[in-house]
Amino acid sequence: MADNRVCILGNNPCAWKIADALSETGAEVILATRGQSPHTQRVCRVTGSPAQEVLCGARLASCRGGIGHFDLTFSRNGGEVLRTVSTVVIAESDERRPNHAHYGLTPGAGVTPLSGLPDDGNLPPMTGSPLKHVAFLNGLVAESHPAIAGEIMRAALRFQSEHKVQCTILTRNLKVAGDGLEALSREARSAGVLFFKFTTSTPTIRQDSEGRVQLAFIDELTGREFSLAPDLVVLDETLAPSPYAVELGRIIGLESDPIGFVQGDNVHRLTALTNRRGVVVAGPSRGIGLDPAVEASNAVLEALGAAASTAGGASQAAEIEPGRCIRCLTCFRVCPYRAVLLNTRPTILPAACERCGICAAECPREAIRIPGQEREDLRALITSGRSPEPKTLPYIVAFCCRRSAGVAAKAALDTGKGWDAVVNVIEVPCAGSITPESILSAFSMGADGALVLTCHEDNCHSRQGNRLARTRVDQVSDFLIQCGYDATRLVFKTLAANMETELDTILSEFSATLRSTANR
Amino acid sequence: MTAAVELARFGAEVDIVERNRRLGGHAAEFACKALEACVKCGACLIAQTIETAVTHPRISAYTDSRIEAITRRHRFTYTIRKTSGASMCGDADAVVIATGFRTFDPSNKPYGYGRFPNMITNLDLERMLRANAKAIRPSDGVAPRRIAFIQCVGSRDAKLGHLWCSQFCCGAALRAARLIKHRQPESFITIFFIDIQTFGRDFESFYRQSQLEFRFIRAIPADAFQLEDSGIRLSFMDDSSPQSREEIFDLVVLSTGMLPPEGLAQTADDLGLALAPSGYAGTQAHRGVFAAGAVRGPMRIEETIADARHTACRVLAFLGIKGGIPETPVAERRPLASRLVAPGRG
Ligand SMILES: Cc1cc2nc3c(=O)[nH]c(=O)nc-3n(C[C@H](O)[C@H](O)[C@H](O)COP(=O)(O)OP(=O)(O)OC[C@H]3O[C@@H](n4cnc5c(N)ncnc54)[C@H](O)[C@@H]3O)c2cc1C
Ligand code: SF4
Ligand code: SF4
Ligand code: SF4
Ligand code: SF4
Repeated sequence: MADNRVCILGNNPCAWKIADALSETGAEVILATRGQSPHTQRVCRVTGSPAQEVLCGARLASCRGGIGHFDLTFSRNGGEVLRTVSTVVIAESDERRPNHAHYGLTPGAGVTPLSGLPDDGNLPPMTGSPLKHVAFLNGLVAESHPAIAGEIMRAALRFQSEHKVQCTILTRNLKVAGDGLEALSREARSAGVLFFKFTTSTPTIRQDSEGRVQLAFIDELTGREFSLAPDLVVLDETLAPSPYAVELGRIIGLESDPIGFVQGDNVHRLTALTNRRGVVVAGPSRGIGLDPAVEASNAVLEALGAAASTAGGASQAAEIEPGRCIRCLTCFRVCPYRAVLLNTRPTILPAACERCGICAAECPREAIRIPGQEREDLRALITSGRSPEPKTLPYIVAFCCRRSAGVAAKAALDTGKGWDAVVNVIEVPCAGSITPESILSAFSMGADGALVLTCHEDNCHSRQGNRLARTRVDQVSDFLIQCGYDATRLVFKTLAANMETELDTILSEFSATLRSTANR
Repeated sequence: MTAAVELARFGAEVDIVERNRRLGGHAAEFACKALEACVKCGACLIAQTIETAVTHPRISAYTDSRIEAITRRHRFTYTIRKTSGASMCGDADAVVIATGFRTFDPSNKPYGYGRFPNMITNLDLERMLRANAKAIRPSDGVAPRRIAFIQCVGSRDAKLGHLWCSQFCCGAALRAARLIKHRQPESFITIFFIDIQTFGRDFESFYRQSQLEFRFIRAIPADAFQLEDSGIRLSFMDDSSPQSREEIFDLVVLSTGMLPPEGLAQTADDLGLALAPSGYAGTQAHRGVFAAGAVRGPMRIEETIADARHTACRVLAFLGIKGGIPETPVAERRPLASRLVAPGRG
């Protein structure tokens, strides 16, 4: 697959694994690292083949285009380097931030952050007195993480059993939700490592002018008072995305999570996806303490999948009719997937379009068409589901997002219980495609009631499709009220795919409301 | 199933053999725990994976089925036996064991599970929330007011030799508890715990909110007694006093953990796969035999999906399949807007 060129941003085990695995599939790989020197030992497999390139000291400056054709500009040695690739993989390293400030401690001889300990498991060199007692502070202020707790317990076990140094771990919740960590904590305990857990209290931490630390606390379990003067205090650290990773997210136009990792906190992005097709994220750019091998596999599958999807050609993508477009750029602003490119005029990159219909619904000129999802298509679906005259039951048109409420509707229908209404479930790719006009046309074509059912907030694949749908329902409700109609005929709810029970209740209540208003 | 979908996406032909009536495993039974917004439990993702697996031209899914006999010469040959009695033969180049986990059965713990109607497990609670959209007392169907969650039941338990944290149950309990509190604000919820584990990307704020909504007690109750009105009295030692304390609850949820699935030792033995000392499949693979998901060790939905894809990658390498193949995703083969009509009762 010669046209499969992948740029991997990052310089760490995860990035190298991805580079190796992708080269083996025949993809052309560019490994772009910000640092001047790649980890020579590790990248030799990558550099070994002429189809592969390592760009050192290259910092991404801009990214244009989309899946199948990204134009990347790097700044390097004061100049610019341009590369065109079909897929981008972000696997930048994370950053460890020592938690000195949490504990009011200043770095010094008696205080070291966790990553300040020697890599080889040996004791850190000490000036003055020999090391007899080490205290570890873990998650006493901010919650710790299994990745950090694991490192702390491994270091303590090693110091305790191999170097005969008394180790004490002061912790709030001990994070053992990781491979083998519960067993490790038991092993550390039986080797003599002392654990003190804090729930309601916190130890008092003092540092004298020479930098030595005093820890005073009452053990919550026994009620006994303790005062420790360890020779060394090891502090936990917070893992966070590196500023460069955050910048990459901004340049490429990606969502980010509450911590700042460049993947939206949305289950639809699991595992290596971003809001842009053709941009894959892995390992330390996407979360804390993830296994590089697992992450690499996930990234490789998505990178190959992205290549396959462009090769297959996307049909049914949204299209802009140049004659109608007034270049207001609304579509560019609202597309959650950054599928709208700005050339001399806005165009939609078919392979990048997820066909959510948001742009078509928002375009003030109705210049955007999506095959299979046009006005006439919806009208046909609404009329064909109508019950025959004379009507005995209310007719409900339920616009459902296919990913959530549509699935729940199928499950509810499968129970065979039915409702006291004729319900026309219209599945749309995203609720963001439902326009005020489609809702009104449901009423004009005989619906007694209309439901708009979307995914929950933060669960929308198209990020804001559900919010846009809610806003439009509010608009239509206001309009109905102004025209003197009954606004209870229109209801908006959020649902997940596994909420068939709730959907059943919504429909039963709605049909009851409709029947009672009809009888008034 | 995720492994199957990935393998099929890259051109492999896959047979899924599922013991249950439906695909999806445990997660297909869970309730949505969203409050105003999604809390990212991942349970709703399974629906799409099932749909993809069922409709994929290269996947054959056999439900209500088991592998009866499997042998390998150059390839694997096996017999699939349906519960109905029917059987069929199949052959494959690689086998993936993705039989997940079994939840710990707390009947032998001193909590009266199985005897006290209002003592339920986390799995019972998921099913209850899914079917009723709220928490009820099984004894009389009334909404409980005082609810307790007991964490780590059957996990982190040296006496049982279960030296693992099941990883999902802190998140599952806090999410379920917040849903109950949200829908039934009159409930008063207590969490008995050893350590609360991190889950999700916004754990700090989720946990802080939970601490405002519930009472956390760092202790695991030792005993449970049933009262005449079917209430449950728990006795526990907390740090506030050296004596044990007692309290009465209307509903108690046991956060039972994971165990390796039934029959794994036999399956592994048949296929020549060595298990980890914990009894899970661990990280082993053996000449065309792979393991994926919670059968390898406790993991959550998110990690299970990641692990399944990782395994799919390893299987593709084993099979010598390189690179992607052009294919339109299943979701795109469907018409854009479509319709289902419920004709109404009567
Ligand atoms: C009460 C509860 C709540 C949870 N809540 C959450 C949560 O909120 N978030 C989260 O991330 N995780 C949660 N989990 C964990 C989640 O269930 C697991 O991570 C996930 O189900 C693991 O998936 P799996 O496919 O590996 O295993 P399973 O879901 O166990 O699936 C294994 C499948 O294999 C089948 N099988 C087993 N043996 C055989 C056999 N011999 N032959 C044929 N088929 C067989 C089973 O029938 C089953 O369908 C929860 C678990 C429980 C018990
Ligand atoms: S929203 Fe419509 S009018 Fe505006 S730029 Fe896009 S296509 Fe053109
Ligand atoms: S349909 Fe959705 S994904 Fe496609 S261009 Fe419009 S807004 Fe973007
Ligand atoms: S991830 Fe969980 S909480 Fe969020 S919508 Fe899905 S089932 Fe509900
Ligand atoms: S996740 Fe929580 S409840 Fe489950 S075993 Fe681990 S610590 Fe115990």
